[in-house]
Amino acid sequence: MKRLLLPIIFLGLFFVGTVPAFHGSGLICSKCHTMHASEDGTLPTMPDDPSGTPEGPNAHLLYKANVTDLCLVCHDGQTGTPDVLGTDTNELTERAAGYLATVNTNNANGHNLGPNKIGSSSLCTTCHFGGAFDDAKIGCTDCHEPHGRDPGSTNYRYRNLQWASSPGGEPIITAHVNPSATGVNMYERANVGYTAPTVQSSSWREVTNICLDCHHTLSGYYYTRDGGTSAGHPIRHPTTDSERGAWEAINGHTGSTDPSHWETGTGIGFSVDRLPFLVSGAGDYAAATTVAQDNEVFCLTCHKAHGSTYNSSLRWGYRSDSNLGCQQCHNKGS
Amino acid sequence: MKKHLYILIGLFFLLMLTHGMSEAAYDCNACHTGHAGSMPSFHNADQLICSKCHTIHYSEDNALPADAEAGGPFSQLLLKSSTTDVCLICHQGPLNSNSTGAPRVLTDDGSMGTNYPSLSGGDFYYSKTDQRKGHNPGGSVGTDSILTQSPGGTFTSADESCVSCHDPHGGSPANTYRLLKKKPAGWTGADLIVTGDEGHPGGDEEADPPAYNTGFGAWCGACHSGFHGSDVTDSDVGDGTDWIRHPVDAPLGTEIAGNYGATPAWLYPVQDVDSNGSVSSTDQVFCLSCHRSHGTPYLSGTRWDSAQPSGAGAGCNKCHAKGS
Repeated sequence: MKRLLLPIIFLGLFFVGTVPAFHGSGLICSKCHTMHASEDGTLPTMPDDPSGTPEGPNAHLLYKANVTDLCLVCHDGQTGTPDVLGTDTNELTERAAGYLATVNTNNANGHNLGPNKIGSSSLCTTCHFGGAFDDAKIGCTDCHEPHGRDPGSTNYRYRNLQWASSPGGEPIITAHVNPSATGVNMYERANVGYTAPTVQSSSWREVTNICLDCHHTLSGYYYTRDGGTSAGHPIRHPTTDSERGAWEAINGHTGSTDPSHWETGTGIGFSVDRLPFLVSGAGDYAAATTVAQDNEVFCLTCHKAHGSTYNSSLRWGYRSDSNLGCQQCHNKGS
Repeated sequence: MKKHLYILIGLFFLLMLTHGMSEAAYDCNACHTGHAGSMPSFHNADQLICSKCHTIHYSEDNALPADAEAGGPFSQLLLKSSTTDVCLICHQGPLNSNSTGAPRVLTDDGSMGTNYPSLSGGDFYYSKTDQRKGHNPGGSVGTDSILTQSPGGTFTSADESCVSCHDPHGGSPANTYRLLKKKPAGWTGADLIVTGDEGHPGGDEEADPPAYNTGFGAWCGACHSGFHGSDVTDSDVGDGTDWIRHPVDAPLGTEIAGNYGATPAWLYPVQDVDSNGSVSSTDQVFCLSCHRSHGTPYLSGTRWDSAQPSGAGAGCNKCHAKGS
């Protein structure tokens, strides 16, 4: 009996705190889908939106015709659920992805939120073939897989991210969350560390691999270096893009950057919080948040995924306070 | 003229003589033909005992006949005012303690349990205690006070009874499977034929599960037409590209058939249209994949609690494999 006790205790410890993610094994299908668009003989309202206006029947058996509207029932203004729109009802210090603006408006400070495009030809024409970038809008499920998977499961993607152009076709997308963080605190900026695969490895991809699915002309040597190779001088700001073989460490551009200034983390530029960075090969949160001169720059170094207070979803006022964020790496003029 | 009168008087006395006999001794089928069925049990021509359900004069030994309800006589010479309650004379009671062998459809305590060791149609106990958990055939089970019509259709809920779906006499008006009517309540179209294997009605569903082969979804669609239709012809359901209601009678396809996994098929059945006894891409999702026809512990008579996390093994994920 005693021989059984130890494994039982071990298993018990293992499962303590293992709460199935809502978008994962904790899925409740009926939160978003209605099988027959009929309940008690009438068109049903979404369970978490009892005062909402019933709609439907809708494609994909959803409670709402606009998928983004459906996501926002829970993800806007609901305490205990990550709040992605406007003021944070959870009062986090800083949401890792920032925040979006009102649906169906053009947001100069972040992504324009609108109906999702995934699964339709309008995804491409949002920007190309007559689409207007300034007016382009995307929906939640263009970037996030709503069904998700539990962290730790084989095919888990950080934040359930997916390629809009090929849902499910994306590689393993990894970032690390502070293991001591729980609940909505897992979405606190300070509790996230970013990692890229080691050079020439494809064991996983950095989170910004998702960004490049649409913004593909802003990364990779072909688009960012003169002549299209690593030997060329940057013609657009470098950013690590492991899928296309570009690893852009801060100390790889010493003609322009000051790696020791970055590593020290004081002085000019650091009146704003240290900008996010990638650590190649980091396998956990501790490693992914370790500051070093070979930390790498990536999209989220300067931008927030959803939106921010500043133009282009930047982390600081680029037009008014350009010496802030840039100077953390470049340390110019002092 | 007198000759005809004598013949009529003779027939009258003959009729009185035969109806004066014990009801159990009647050969009712000598006159009331058309009740021959192939179900090898109580409800067919050879086995029917009319007096189990009907009372000819609502009088026996100058008193109420056995099992008869007070306040009669009742329509169709039935023993009770409610057709459903007539059925429940035999079909209500504890599981596995029925000397008549009649499959139970209403237990006293929901003893079919959540794992459904038997009663593939479910248990009216649940819709009796919460009308939203199954069909409401009236009588002691109760009628539906929320839905005035069948969801997705126009059948009047107050008219619902066991014989809305089942033909108590069997025979040519009924399918052989569970005596389901070929023209269930309100249906005026072509006969609705179902094919399948009953398994062991009222017995161990897991050990001897029913097999549903063809026609069941369309059969339910007689009342719930808005929830039913092929992927092309019924805009209420969708065109197969963008479903707006869950498809019924639609092929599973390779992906979903592959997802089906190892959970026993009897728990979440499909229409085994190729009758091969296994789940394949041409088999179909249908009403009973998610619902039981009588009642379950869950809203809408679903086979699992759809308001809870699906998780491994729960109903939706049986086919859709999401979240993992």
